[in-house]
Amino acid sequence: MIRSSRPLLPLLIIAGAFAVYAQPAFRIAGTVVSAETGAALARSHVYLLRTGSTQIVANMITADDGKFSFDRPQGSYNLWAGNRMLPQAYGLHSPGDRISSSIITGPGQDTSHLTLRYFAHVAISGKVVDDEGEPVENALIQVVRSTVSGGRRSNINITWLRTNDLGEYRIGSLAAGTYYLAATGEPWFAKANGYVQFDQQNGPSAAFEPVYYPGAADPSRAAPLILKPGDEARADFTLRLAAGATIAVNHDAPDNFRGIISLIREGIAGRESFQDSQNFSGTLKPHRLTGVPPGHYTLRVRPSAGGPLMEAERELDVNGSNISVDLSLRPTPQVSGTVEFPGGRPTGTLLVTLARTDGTGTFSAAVKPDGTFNFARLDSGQFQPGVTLSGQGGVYAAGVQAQGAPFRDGVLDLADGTTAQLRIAASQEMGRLKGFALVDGKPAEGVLVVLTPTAETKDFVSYAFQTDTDGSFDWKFVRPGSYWLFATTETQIEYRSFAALKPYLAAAAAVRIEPHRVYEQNVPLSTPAAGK
Amino acid sequence: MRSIALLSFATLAGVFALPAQEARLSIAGTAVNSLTGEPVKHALVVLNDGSKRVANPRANASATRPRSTTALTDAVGAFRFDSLPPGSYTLTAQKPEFVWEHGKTSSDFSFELTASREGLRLPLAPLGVITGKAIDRDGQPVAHVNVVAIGASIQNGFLFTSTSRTVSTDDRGIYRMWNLQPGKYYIKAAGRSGGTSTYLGDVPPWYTSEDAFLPVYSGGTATLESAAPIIIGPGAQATADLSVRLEPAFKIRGTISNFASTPAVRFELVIAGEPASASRVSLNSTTGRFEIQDVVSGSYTLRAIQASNVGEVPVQVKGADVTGIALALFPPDEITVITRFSGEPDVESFQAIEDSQSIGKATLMAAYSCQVWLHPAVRRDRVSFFFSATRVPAANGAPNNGENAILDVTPGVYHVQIMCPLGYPTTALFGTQELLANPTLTIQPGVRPPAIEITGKFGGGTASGKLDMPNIDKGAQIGVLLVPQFAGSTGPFFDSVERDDDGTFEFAFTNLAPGIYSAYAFSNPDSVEYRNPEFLRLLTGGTGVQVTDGAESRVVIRELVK
Repeated sequence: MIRSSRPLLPLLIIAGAFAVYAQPAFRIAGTVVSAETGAALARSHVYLLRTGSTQIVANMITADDGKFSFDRPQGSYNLWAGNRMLPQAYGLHSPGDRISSSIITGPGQDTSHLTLRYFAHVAISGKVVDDEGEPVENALIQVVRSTVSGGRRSNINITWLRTNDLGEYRIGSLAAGTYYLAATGEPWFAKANGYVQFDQQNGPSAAFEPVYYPGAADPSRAAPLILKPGDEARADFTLRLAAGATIAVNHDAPDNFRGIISLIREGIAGRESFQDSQNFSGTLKPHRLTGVPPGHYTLRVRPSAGGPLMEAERELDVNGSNISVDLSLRPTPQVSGTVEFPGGRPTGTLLVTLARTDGTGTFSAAVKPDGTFNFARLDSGQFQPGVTLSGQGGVYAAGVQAQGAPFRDGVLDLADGTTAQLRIAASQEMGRLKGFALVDGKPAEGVLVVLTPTAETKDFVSYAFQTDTDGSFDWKFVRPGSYWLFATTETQIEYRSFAALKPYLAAAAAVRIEPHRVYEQNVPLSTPAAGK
Repeated sequence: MRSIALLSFATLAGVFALPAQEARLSIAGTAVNSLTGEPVKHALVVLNDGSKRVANPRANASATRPRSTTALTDAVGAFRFDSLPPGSYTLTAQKPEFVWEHGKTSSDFSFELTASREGLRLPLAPLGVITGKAIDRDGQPVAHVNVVAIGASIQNGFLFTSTSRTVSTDDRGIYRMWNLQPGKYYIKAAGRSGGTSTYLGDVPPWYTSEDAFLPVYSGGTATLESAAPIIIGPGAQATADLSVRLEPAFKIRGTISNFASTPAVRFELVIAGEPASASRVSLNSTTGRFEIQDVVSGSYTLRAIQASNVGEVPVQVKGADVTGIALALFPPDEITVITRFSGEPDVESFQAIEDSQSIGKATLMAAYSCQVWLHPAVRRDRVSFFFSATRVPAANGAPNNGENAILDVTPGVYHVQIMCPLGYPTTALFGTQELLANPTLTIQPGVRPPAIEITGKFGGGTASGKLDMPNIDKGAQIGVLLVPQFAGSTGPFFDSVERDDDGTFEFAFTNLAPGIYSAYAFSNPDSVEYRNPEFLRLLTGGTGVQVTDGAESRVVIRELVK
């Protein structure tokens, strides 16, 4: 520990009346280095935040030596540094990690020799041409990243890009890792609503087949692009012409309906891939989608804000011939209900959440003072209901009852046309568990501590904590129950999967959490059971 | 692979096969790059049949002739339509990055087909490209910079600007804009890309933004007026780099009120008349709490816009975050325009309207006798004009009086343009403000504006004349400007004149207020910014003319303004 008295002097002179500033300051200092080479990163932007807050309490730009230094009151801080627009948190184990370590300052803590390892970004660029070598302008590039995030492996749509007039695209500022890319597009002369007024009955007969990196026509044969920090990768695509069909969509949407109609095919890494997405108006009957290449599709209509909230979805096959399909729109799911607090309502903004079970998004609705809530806009799908206190913890949905929609194993199944009522019993009956991860008997930072229920249920909730600089972990709000507790250096484990946790459980400690109790327990590092 | 592709291209044209019995003529030619003369491959040629339009195609399928037939040019730019019946046809061609040069040559490609036509050359003019790089003062690239191309032209004597394109720099600081129509562009860096994000709850998203920059044009100037435009000709490839000066950035926090959950609320910052994009904003969609990122020190006007509702507030940022800004949105205003004209109008064109409505001719004439235009004084993304003839006048009993309204006026500062084609105004009051002396008015959000009251006289004087300049080209377009040399007028008059059949350039301005005017002639009528006082101040060499009520004065202009 280095205790600094240097900045205190001017503060005391200026504001002697403000005794609160007279508390001792502790130094947070260190170096921003390249994770790949270990060399100092010149002119790094460094940001200091209080743990759990989004307000920056101090920031600076380093000199060529990458060194930073702050003197702040005792506490827990998050440190971010690196490129101006793309800082990374202290304590990442791999590029793109979402879990970091806080800096704990105070007596006995050496926080003045920190090393923030910054992972260089990667870029992907390329060119899209047709099978005659002509650049394809406005081709759509889908970028999917495959990563373990929040304890589960997921394939996330990072972005959609359009090619320029040279058929070129570029995405920079990406975290190193595993990516899948796909290219789709339509021949420019096949735009029914763009340049040419085609014969509306027939439509253009040309389309481009989608291509999956490195040139596969079938998404199951797509190969990942594995990028190491600092890589500049190139992914070129050739789009092949195919017979394009016109789909006449006969629908029953009211005249004032406005929305988006999308033609979706199964894409890379199990993600949806958009063949086409257009504005949709209830007055246009039928709606024609032109230049559709052969394939199996999901046709989906979702509402825009302001009009009737209706949607529709169906599957269809296209094989070069023009087809006609019927689509019946139904109201989007309506969910409202009440939240009850047996122990009294906590202060702060309370939100009811509906999280998609595939991890692709969460809808939120604020709980009104009378305990009621109403989701203004939902899409159909499968959701896990929950309750959160915005920006804090300490509340969970201990009981959920649903009327009007199937609710099993904690999953609410919302189809279009559904009107569901939820009764949520929110609970603040939680316990606290804290301690230190021990390596060779000493507290160790950057270790993943996992707390997982002993009972294997479909909607089990497990907790993970990457230890802070003092080697500590601290779950302030844990639901009551019986758990296994262990520590590992494998920070990428899928702790939301019971199967992935099993190898660690033999050496785990059993822990029982009761409401409103504080438990302190240290956890030695465990190695997963052999053969698993 | 190649043959399959060509097959598909061929079927595209084949879809539109025509009835065989009367088809015997051909149209063929080549699509060419009008700049280089090179053939353009894979251009789409569209042949529109303008002859027999069958009212109900289903009733008589054999008589159906499709409205348009298409073909793609081949690898050497050639196209061909065979088996065509005689008739009238129109040809156009198109391809991305090109524009069909229809203006000068339209008659060549719209014709009556009586015999086959071969060897037609379809001109496609290549469009322009602007690329560049955004760097900071250390020469480091700056990513995610909003780069705006502002198209500029002179319309109604004002510099008219509109945002043609907005793109973002990539991780190397590089941007590219393409498909730019020939014209004059200003390239500006303003704000960071990101847009407004909405959230629920108590914790706004966090942004790293310890530095930002004021709007800057390529060339380093801070305002459009002092910036050098980029002239894009057909096929031009221009470079415009941007050097931004990074300064400490602060946040503006506050709350908007009187807003709805949709559509999205847009925030704009204006500094010294220059829009500075407020691009990264978080907005709590229930409480209205907002946080604007990337604001450097300065005096701003902050506007929040939702549909046609607007709120506006001045904000001073001085080296620290600004909090507690309250911003209420108000619906657009309506400005009543009242006209009182004396004398007798000397026009018969309103006879039909008069006959169909039971109000007096003079009342009707007064209602229509002036048009009031409001031109936004501060440039925005969209420049709008408001025009008084939007409501049928309500007779209010008094002879020669008319009333009208300008609807949906967004709060802001406007230059007023008053045009009274049947006479001339003697006063134009906006509350107590005389618009003929000071033609700039301000509409405050939430404050009902006073009426514009125009008093005038039907009739007026005429200034007619000719150009005495033997060396002017026969086809030249000449702009004639008439500038009043007295206070309290509606401003200058401008007209574009062409050579008459007898070889003279004649012009006439009617219904003028009496007084002394100066007349000028310009060889570039499209770029005369005659409503800019600075432009008028620098004019020299005018020809004087005295206009009197009810009379015609003659003026001869002997030289062009340089």
